[in-house]
This record gives sequence, C-alpha cells and structure tokens, in this order.
Amino acid sequence: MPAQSEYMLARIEELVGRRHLTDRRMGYIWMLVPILPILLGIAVAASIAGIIISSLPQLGTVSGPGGVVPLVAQIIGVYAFAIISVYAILLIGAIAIYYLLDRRNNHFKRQQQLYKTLAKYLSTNLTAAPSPNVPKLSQLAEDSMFEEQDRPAGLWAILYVFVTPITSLIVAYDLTLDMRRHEERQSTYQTALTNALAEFGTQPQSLPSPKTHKRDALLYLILTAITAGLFWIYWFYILLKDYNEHFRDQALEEDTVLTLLKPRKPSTVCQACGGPVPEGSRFCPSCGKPQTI
Amino acid sequence: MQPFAEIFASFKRNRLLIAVIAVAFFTILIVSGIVTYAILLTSPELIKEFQSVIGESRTYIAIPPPYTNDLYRLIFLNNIAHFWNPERVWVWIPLIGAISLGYELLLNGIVIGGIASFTSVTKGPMFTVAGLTPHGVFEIPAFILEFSGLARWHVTMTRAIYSKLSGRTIDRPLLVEGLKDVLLLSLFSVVLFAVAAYVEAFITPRFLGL
Repeated sequence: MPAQSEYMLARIEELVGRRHLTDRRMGYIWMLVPILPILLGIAVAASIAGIIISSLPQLGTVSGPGGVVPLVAQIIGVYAFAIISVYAILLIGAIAIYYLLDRRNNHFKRQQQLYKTLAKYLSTNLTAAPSPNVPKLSQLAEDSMFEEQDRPAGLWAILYVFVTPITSLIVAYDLTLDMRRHEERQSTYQTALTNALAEFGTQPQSLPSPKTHKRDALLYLILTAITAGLFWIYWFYILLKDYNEHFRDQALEEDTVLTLLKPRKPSTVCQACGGPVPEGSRFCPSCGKPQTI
Repeated sequence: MQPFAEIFASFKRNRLLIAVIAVAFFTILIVSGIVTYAILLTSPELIKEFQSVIGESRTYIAIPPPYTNDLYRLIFLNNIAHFWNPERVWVWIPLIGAISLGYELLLNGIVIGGIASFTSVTKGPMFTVAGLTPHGVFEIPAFILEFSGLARWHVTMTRAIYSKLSGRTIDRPLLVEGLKDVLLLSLFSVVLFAVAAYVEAFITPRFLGL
C-alpha cells in the first residue's frame, strides 16, 4: 500500500507540474483579433472615399493625370491591400481561436486526470470511517470526463477562416458556457475535497476560494447582435480574462492541496545550540553554525 | 411603494443591457460624426451635393408643417414603429430579429452622427444644439430603453424556446420576470417617445425660428 500511495502522490505532483504546459495564459495583445477588422474597415472605406473625392474635380480624361485609369488603379491597389490584410487578420484570428480552444481542452483534460488520481489517493489513504466525500469526488471527476469533452480546436480554427462571424459566436458561446459549468462543478468539488482532506487528517484549512464568473452566454450573444458586433470586443476580452484568472486561481488551489497531502519532512536539531534546523539547511537559523547535510 | 421597487429592480436587472446599448450607440454616433466632419472639412464641395440630396428627398416624403398634430403623429408613430408597423415588427422574432436591431442601431447612430456634424458645419454648432438637444434628451434614452426591452425579449424567448426544444422544463419565474422587464422597458420608451415627439413637433421649431 505505501508504494502505491507514493506512486499516486508522485502522479499528482506530476499532473500539477504539467500545468505550465496546459494552462496557457493568453496575453491581451490578442485583443487585436476583434479590433483589427474594425480599424481595417474604417481605413479602407476612408481610403476609397478619399481617392474618389480627390479625383472627382479632375475627372474628364481617360488615362491622363487625374483620369479614370489612375483612379481605377488606385482603387484596385486599396482593394488588393484590403484583401491581403483581411487574410492576415483572419489567420491571426484563426490562431487565437485555436489557442482558446486548445488551452480549454488541455486544462479540462489535466484537471480530470488530477481529480481522478486525487480521489484514488484519498480513498487509499483514508484511515477514518468511509464517508460520502471520496466517492463524491470520484463521481464528479467521472461527470467531468463525460461532460467536458474535447472541442476540435483545429476544425474550428479552419472554419473561422471561411465563416468568421458565425464561428466566432459559436466558439465564444461554447467557451463562456463551458467555463460557467466548469466553475460550478469545481465549486462542488472543492467543498467535497475540503471535507475529504479534513477526514484525511490534514490541518483544518479551507482551500483558496476561486473567483467565479457567472457569465450569461445567451445574453452576450444577443448583445453582440444588437450592438452591430461592437460587444464582441468586450466578449473576446472576457474570454481571455476569465480563463487566465481561472488558471491562476486553480494553480493556487492545487499548490495548497499538494502541500496538505505531502508528508512533512522532520526538521533536525542543531548540534551546537540544540535549535530546530529545517531539512536540507546548510546553517542553523538560530545560531548560524554550519550543519552537515 | 411596491411598484416603484419593482421598477427599480427591473432597471437594476437590465443595467448591463442598457449600458452596453448606450455605449454602442454613442460610439457609433461619435465615430460617424468625426468621420463626416473630416470628410466635409477636406472636401467642402460635398456640402452642396449633400444639400441637394436632402432637398430632393424632401420632395419624396410629405413632411407636415411644424406646430401641427400631423407632424406629432408622424414622428411618434414612426418612432414606435417596432410595436405596430407590420414592416418592422419582425424584430421581435427571437434571436433572428436581434441581427436586424443591430443593423438599425448602426444606421441610426451613423445618420444622427452624420446629420449633427453636417448641420454643425453648414449652420453652426448652436443650430445643431438647438435642433437636436431638446427632443434628443428624451428620444435617445427612449431609443436605448426600447432596444434594451427588445434585447431582454430576445434573451427571454430564446432561452424558453431552447429549453422547450431540448426537452427541459421552462423556468416559469424567469420567463415571467423577463416578460415583465420587456413590458416595463417598452412602456417607458413609448412614454419618452411621446414626449420627444411633442417636443420635436411643437418646441424645437420655436428654437430654430421656424
């Protein structure tokens, strides 16, 4: 049993340590995704209007300076620039959509494994009488595996290039809804985990309470439609912020749980003054004499 | 005190909707105003073109003279067309109608911003203030409340229809609360539109010396 227990603790540590690969924070530079198309639209419309207005008084010739041919050439130039820019913006947007979905998938997957292992570890090591908390943890982990399945990040990223507005709205709606359900489930999980940890024999300590984001995805969808897409800028910001905050809070919670589970290493005694010396310390914190490790 | 408490609670519940629609509307209005001003400043020859377009449009629309009940009725009924005009009531179709509302918000913001800028350039800023502010003080909040009511309608109905389609039970208290909000916001908007139309028909022309 101790070997199995040690293995599971090592596995929990490994899963916690893997979070820097899965819980990727996205910088706010990605806000360019909803802002750039608006800026490009205004720039192109203003350029074409400017070209036409500045050419109007001189129109009359076909190919001379200020004639029809240079005007058409200028408009085609702006149009070509617009097309290239649109594809560049779409590409950046597709990458953002991929990252948003990919980090969601990876975070959910890692957490499912972590919660499952944690439940097993606690059930193996629980010395007290059987309680409903550990089975509840297992059940929540299983529910999460069933309900928080992967969303195909690559497919949505490709779709974004072809049907941008619809894809953006569907992905944003799903991500908002997923986060809400995930946080609700996590809140239940946390209560059960706190109780199970108390039964496990750790110091009575409440886990850090994560910030919950009760966003109404349907309301956001309608607000985006009713504000001619302007609300999308805020919604995109919310998608970046909420997941970033959730990852930060989750990291804090995982660190606390890991500290509670790990057996405390005994401190040694200083041979010179007799004071306590923490494991691995080179010098005594009381008298400063060097210690043999 | 109960009705006041309910009204207050309803506005509090819908504060996000009201704030977002107001911000979106004023953003579009300001951008439109700035762009129109920049265009008119760089190419003043367009002013005459616009004036002739406005002059021609007046021959197509029979606008009653100021200080008449006909003008009041025209403005009022046009402003509340979403509630009665068959050509415009389809904005109430759940979810789909919201897209049309977005287009209307964009169009209204662009037109009002453009006109405000145009009259400022041609007739001076005081004329714009005198011509738009008296009724705008009532009309813009009415417009924002009307759109908020419609947005609340779309959220409530879409949620109810989705619940029904997916085989779940409809949350009746939530549905009733949503419908109450729609009624209240719409009622307030209609009252404000009535006041705005009165001001536009009988008071604004006095300010403009018509």
